[in-house]
Amino acid sequence: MKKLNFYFIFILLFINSLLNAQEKQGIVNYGYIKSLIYGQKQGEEYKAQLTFDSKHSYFVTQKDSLERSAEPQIEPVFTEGNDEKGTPATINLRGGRQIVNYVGNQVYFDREKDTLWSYVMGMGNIYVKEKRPTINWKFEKETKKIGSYTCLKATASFRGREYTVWYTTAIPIPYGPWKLNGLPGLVLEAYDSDYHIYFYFKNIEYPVKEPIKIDFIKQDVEERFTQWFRYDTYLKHANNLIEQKYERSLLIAKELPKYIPTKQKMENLYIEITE
Amino acid sequence: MKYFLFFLTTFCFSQQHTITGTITSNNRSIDNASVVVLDDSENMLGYTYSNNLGIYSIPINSKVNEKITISVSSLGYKKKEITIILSDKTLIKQSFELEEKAEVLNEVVLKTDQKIKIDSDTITIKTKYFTNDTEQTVEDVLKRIPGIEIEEDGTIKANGKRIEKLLLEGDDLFDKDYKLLSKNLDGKVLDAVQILKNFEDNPILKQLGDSKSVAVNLKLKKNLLNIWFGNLTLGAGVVSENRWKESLNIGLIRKKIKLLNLADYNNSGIKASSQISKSFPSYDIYRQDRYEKEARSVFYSNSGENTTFSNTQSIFNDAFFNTLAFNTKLKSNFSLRSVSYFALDEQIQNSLSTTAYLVEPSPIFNSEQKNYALQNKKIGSEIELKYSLNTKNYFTANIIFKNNPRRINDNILFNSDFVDVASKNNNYSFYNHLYHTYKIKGNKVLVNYLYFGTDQLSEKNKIVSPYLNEFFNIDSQALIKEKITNTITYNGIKSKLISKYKKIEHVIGAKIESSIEKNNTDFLVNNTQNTEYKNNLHFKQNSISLDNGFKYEFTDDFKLDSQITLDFNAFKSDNFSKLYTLLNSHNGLNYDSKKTGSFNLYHSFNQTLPQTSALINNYQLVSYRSFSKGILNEELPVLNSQSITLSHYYSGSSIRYSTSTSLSYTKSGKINASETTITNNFIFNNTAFVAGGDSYRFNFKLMNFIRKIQMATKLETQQTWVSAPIKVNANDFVDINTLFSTYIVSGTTYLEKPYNFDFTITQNRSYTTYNDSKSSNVVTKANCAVNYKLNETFIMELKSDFYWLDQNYTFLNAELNYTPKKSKFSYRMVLNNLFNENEFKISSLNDYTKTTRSIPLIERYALLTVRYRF
Repeated sequence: MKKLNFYFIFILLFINSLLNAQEKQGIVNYGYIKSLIYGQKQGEEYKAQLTFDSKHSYFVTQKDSLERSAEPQIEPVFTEGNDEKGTPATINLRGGRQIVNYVGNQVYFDREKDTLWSYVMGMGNIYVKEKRPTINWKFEKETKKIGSYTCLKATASFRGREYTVWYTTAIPIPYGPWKLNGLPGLVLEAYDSDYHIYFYFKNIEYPVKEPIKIDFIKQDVEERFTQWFRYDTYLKHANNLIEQKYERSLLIAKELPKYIPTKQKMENLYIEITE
Repeated sequence: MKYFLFFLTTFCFSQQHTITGTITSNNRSIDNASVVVLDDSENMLGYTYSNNLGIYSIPINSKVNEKITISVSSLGYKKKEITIILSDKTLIKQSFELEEKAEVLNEVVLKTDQKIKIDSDTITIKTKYFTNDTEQTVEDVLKRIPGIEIEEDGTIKANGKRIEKLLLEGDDLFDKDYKLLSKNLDGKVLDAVQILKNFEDNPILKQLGDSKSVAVNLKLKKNLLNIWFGNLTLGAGVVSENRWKESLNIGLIRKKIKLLNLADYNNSGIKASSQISKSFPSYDIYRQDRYEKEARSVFYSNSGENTTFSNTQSIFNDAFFNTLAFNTKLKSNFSLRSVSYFALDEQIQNSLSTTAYLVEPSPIFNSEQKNYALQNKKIGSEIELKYSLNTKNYFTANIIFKNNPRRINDNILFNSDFVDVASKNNNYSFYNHLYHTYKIKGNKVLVNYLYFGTDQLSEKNKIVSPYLNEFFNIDSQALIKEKITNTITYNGIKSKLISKYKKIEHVIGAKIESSIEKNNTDFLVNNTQNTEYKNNLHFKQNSISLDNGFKYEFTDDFKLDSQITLDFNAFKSDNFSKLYTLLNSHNGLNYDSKKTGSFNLYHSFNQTLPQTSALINNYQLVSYRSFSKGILNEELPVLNSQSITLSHYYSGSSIRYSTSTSLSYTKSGKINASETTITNNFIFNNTAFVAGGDSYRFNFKLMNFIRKIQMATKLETQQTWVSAPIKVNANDFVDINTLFSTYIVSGTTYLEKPYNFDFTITQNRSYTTYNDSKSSNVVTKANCAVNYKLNETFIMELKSDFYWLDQNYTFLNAELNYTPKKSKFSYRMVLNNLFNENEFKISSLNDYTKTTRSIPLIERYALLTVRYRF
């Protein structure tokens, strides 16, 4: 009898430890304003989502299923997102329609392997795998409140942009939007020096009531996965695309003498600009 | 000695320490727990996360005996902190045992579908998409930016409102004299223009939110920041002589200091002194006020200019000016701004006019041939200091000094005799404003304002007029001298308490002001004093006023605004003293809806005292043939008027148009009217106070961007109907009814093609009914500009102006711009008035006066300018 009891308790403890070992997951919703050309938070606005557990995180934005908008979003690039008494002749010269696709721009982070996998749409089939890049964060003592969380400020220069992030140690997980990981707390707000990129916190749920799957990078139907590229390969490819486009416009200029070919700039097209 | 060195080393150099340990809870190791090490002043020394065995290791650089804090936190566990003092041991072991806790995070700042309400504040517009490369100044560029309108005199409006400030890279340089910047800075330095809504310069008032002001910020091209940049333009007439245009811009824009020097010399008609205004009073019950008083000017000589034609067509002027402005941050919370300028205009304006006064029993006709010369100098300087003592206190001090010497020489052939007028004026103004803004707990702000100033005007007029001399019974070539000295000195202090709550904003303010005004006229006829036309008056006004403003938000869309000001004015003059109570009130309702636009209904009631010129009890000579007098030995009455306005503004975002409509009705109670007696050679005006008339004003504006043809169009009409009492050569006051109508159609294209054009057609009609006689006048003008880009370096612009007046006039101007690639030089050829219109005749109708004027026009010329940009 004693032995049975012992085994029973042992099983209970075992099951208990199993239950405790069950991974808890969380979802954080962000807003993402992309205005690479104009800055000042004037541009297309998307929803972004970060799902995480203690070992992995998955960040996605510009995904069509996330954007369940009721009216078609014609975002004239020259007025603010909420049109009140906006400018009388708002002119949509750049067509600020949202650019989304089936899978969205994604970043997957694995803490144990300290590796990032990512996918950026519109480049062909660039799926990048890289060791988590070291970002030399400079910690400031400034604080601000986002919701009920007190956040601390950190700044860093990363791949051609100067970022400012607000993270909270009340949520001690090293995750954040896009590739802004590795801080002593969850990053709630992040932006670069001219607000070309702006992420802001909306809400968090942890633990989620219904268990979810932390997805790995999904491949897009039109840009199929072939292999994992390195980051420098991605940069080279981005520069190549710009050159190709420029060359094409030079050819057009030969036929239409009044057409002036211009070369686009990296910082107006991509978030990561340099090494 | 060696102990001393050892002592030094251990205290002076920081050491590498490694802090390591294990994080556990209930005998289980906790992986991925965050470990953060901070020093005594909360600086980050290092951080990491524990590995899958619960072990962490952090290398830090710190001094021995330094106090550090190690915090460990993990989701599902209570945070633990330990403070230790570092010993000289390089390896420090510190493990933690964590206590479990239930961790649930469900913070919602915004629902997933909501977006943050940011940037109702800033609209950024890249100028290169709207310019056509012919723009010379910042004002030319701003004219093409949607949402920005430039008025005739250069005042900038954004989103329908006059702007508070024109900033350069976020900082203010010229404050109210921003026209010096917009009219002279090279347009090609701009990269983008920002329209800032809810603009508030005062950082404490900014926290109250809800500012109605708008500002425009100019953003320069990035390669011009932090270096000396500018341009030098040299231009001279070719073929025709005596045409000049030289200008210089030098600037340095850095984060901590911004400096601009702008200089210009031209004789193409643009006046230098018209860019600078005399005083800038402003009143905003809910925010800051600014009081600046001017002494009253008396004598005036009509220049004979006409505003129907543009300045470059009809003004003969040599203009020179130089202005230096800078803004620097002496410390992070203390900034200094200063503007200094010197402007000189030398104008010669000849004109011939015939005037018909439509009076009873028979009209009176006059003819006047003028040879008018003006030398106008404006010199001034302004310093502004802004100091943020701490988050609760903010100080601003403004010291302004202006000087305006002016000389006029007018030789007139009036009817059949020559009259000579020489005026020498000087005007000194000195204004001071000191503001202290204090933030009381929460959402209450106290604004204290101390102001004082003085304006001194001296006019010395010498007139040789056979008509006046006949009037005074002296020799027909005798000299009449009139010396006028008017000064006003005032000081005051005003405090207001602004309280802002969720749905209510309330302001209560009190002001104490004292002002002294002196009006002195000396009149010498043939060197003997004539006491009948001499005046020596003193006025003193001591007033206390109380303001109360109340805004209430019924709902997000529906608001009430009620303002009331009570003024107790103890007025003392040589003849009487009286305590006046003046009431001013303004009440309005505003309904804002995204679907139907914004509706405004408001009612105003105003009471003011008349100008002190009403107390001049002897006649004063105010021009070479008019005299003016005030009331005799009476008290000043209170003038009042009421108005009611209904307006609507709508801007559709997806349809890209906006409309603005307004209808207002004004009824005047007592007004300051004139009893005029016109004789063959003179005009006599007596002040009288009578019941005023009423007026209706209707305004409609529609702006639309038609995508198919890429053109921005504007349709505007304004109708003003006025009924006012006048008494001219009659026994009683009679109502004169006038209707002014304006119709404007304009369009500008933004095609992505080498050619673009813009046009404006304006028609002004006026109808007057007076004494059973009706008169009317119609003036129509059309401007059309075509812009053609031959290639990257050559741009041509053809501008034509058509005027349909009594006769028809056509002006044709051409401009050719050559900007070679990769060169710092650019060339411009301006051909003005190709059809060589010499002279124009224009009729204008005003109350009971119909004037026909002939003015010479600037002849045809070709001007070549070279601009060197650095």
